[in-house]
Amino acid sequence: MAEKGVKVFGMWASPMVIRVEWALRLKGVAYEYIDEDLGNKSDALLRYNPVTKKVPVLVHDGEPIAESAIIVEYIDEVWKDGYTIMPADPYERAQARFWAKYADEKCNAAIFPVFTATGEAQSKVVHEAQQCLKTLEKALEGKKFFGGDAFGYLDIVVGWYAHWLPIIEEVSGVSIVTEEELPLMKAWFDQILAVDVVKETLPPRDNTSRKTLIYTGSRAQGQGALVPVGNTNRYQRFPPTAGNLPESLPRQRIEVLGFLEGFRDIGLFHIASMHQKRVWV
Amino acid sequence: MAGEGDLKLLGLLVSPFVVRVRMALSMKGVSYEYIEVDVFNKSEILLKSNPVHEKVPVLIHHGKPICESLAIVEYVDEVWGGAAPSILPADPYERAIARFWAAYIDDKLFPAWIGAVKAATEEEKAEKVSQTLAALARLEEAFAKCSNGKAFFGGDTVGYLDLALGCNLFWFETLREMFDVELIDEGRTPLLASWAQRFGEAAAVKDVVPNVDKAVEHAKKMRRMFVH
Repeated sequence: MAEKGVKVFGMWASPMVIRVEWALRLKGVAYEYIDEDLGNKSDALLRYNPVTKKVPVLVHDGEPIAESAIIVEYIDEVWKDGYTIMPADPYERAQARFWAKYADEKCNAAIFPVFTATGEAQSKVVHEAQQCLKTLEKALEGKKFFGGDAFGYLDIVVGWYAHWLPIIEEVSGVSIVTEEELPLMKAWFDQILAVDVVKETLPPRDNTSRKTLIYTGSRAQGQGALVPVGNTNRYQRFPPTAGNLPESLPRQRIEVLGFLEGFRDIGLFHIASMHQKRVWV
Repeated sequence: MAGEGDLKLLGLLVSPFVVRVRMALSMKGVSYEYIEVDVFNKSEILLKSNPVHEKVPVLIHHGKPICESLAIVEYVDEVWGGAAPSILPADPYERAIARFWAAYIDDKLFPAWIGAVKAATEEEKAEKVSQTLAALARLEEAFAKCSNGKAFFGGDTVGYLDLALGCNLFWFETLREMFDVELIDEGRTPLLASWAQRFGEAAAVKDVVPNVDKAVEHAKKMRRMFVH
């Protein structure tokens, strides 16, 4: 009996997963979304992606595909009569693939340390992140989107910056994408955040609608979870004596930490301890 | 068939990524001007055409540079789409799988074996060899699935994933010569072993594979420069 339909295995805060959702929504393809607890991956995920065990995984009529950028190209090819994601011209396609790889390899590696660095080291990593983004920004010159007039492949790949970089900036107390340093990128952020599929899927910055977050702490420090406290903006440790997790965290921090967990599998306690003095009020 | 307009390839003879592109061009029967670049002393043309990474290969078509070997191979397949054979599979699912494994080869397999070449200690080398073997074990499974009982990853003829892995083979021979280590062997990875034989004999790709001596020479140079 053949399995039919489209499933997406993801994690709610993952920027890689959201790429797949954007692509499917642009094409008007209905899909079942399955949220994974990355600290306790489902059998299904491990079966569908035994090689890297990561999200996102797209399962189309029972056949799995992993690697978000590859999944996006697949979606564009299968539902070829819908919205056009990849550029039509071979040279433009090569450029888009080049920049997607650059962003995922170099820019992400430059951005991540901004969140974990403190003191003097932080201004150095901020500068490096800006340099990386300035290089990427060149591909925006004279255009509204990386894809030209319309939101396209490269916008899908790096669009998460528009939501997450301002959050990283706020939590870390730095500025990366400024009018001065990265004017094109800043303008592009506004374009991205106005795109319908983006608006539909980004996790909310304000606490108007929330998802329940159960988070398991780092392996070294002992297991525990952070659960929402009633209808408030905060999460608290559960059970109260669980490991060495901080007692409570405001939701904004959880979003970023959840994202980092998905992104880099770093323990909550580790991040929390580095920012103990700066983050908790 | 002559290259459409002007076509140049900046390369290094012993770079597997350059060999990968040359194999693709050879499959399409496309002619081009090959320019050997000194990667230890980078020339103007390289710095200008790939300012972001300063690496080879760079394909320059009608004056416009294309970088990243896998992106170049896809470009070649698209531009010379009419010229048989097709490099990427036709089916979108097979294309996605081929791209997945090609990325795996570059992200996991390559750093492991190049790490073995550059290793400063025996311990480090053993670790890198072990990682290489683990990645090849995965690729053995991938071959079983992708080939569907046929001769190549791409089916009856050499395709994208064959090029992605095949361009590394002469370096595996180089490692055998330098360190007496067998990376693809009949015992551990029988499917890959017989595939490697067939790939080595495939006319379309044979001519652009350099002599192992040249790779050994380059490896020694790298070790002199980077291993302290």
